Amino acid sequence: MGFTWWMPDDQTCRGFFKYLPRRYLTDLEDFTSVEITQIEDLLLRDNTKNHSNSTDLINLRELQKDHLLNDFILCVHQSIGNSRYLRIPDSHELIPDTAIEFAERLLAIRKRLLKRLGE
Amino acid sequence: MVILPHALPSLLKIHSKANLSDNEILKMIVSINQGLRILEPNSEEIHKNQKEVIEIRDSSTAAIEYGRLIVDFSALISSQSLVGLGEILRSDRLYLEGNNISSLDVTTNPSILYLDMLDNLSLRLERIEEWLEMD
Repeated sequence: MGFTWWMPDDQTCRGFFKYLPRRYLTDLEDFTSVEITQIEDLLLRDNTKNHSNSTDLINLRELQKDHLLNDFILCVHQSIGNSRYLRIPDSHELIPDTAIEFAERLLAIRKRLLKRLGE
Repeated sequence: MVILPHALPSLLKIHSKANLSDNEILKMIVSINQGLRILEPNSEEIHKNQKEVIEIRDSSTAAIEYGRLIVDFSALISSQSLVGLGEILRSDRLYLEGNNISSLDVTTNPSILYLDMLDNLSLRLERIEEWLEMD
């Protein structure tokens, strides 16, 4: 875990990939897949290096990721979260170390990519 | 992680069923069955990764691939976690039913399909790392 305890939750792997145990969010902002496709098409055609479109796309994809993981959390809560006999495990008990390492590398890429887009 | 006498991962809040009445054990089994009924249909769905290979040549294509990668990876860990939860619950049920499960291989070991998908994602990850000149 290192010194990640003082970092904002969404900047750690645990927060970014919503490791269990975690509560289900009811107030996630909406997004549409159509919008994602449109920006991707625009970025593939556009050679002007408009970084704001790239940043918009990343924000939308991360929102899509949040929805996907939030749906997973809901499924976990509905299946075992209300039972007085069962506990919700930590994600580390469910996914292999290779995936945890992958998540850390992905977060490092995010940091580097956002820095590159901000330059 | 709770380790029951059968030395397998468990989601049960109890440490042993030794002092439980038959009625309490039955309630636990019912609770497990209810959980499995919700989990199983959801864990059968395998997310299809992006099939289109994208060449990373600038920050725009890197952003596209990064976005696709986080969604594919999130779907993969979600489905793997649901599969793992189901396996542990079935193991707990066998234990509560009094079955001998000492030789049962119930773990959260990933499937071959899962590992293949993770390998595929790793290749895509490496391509972005190379473009970003990461160590």
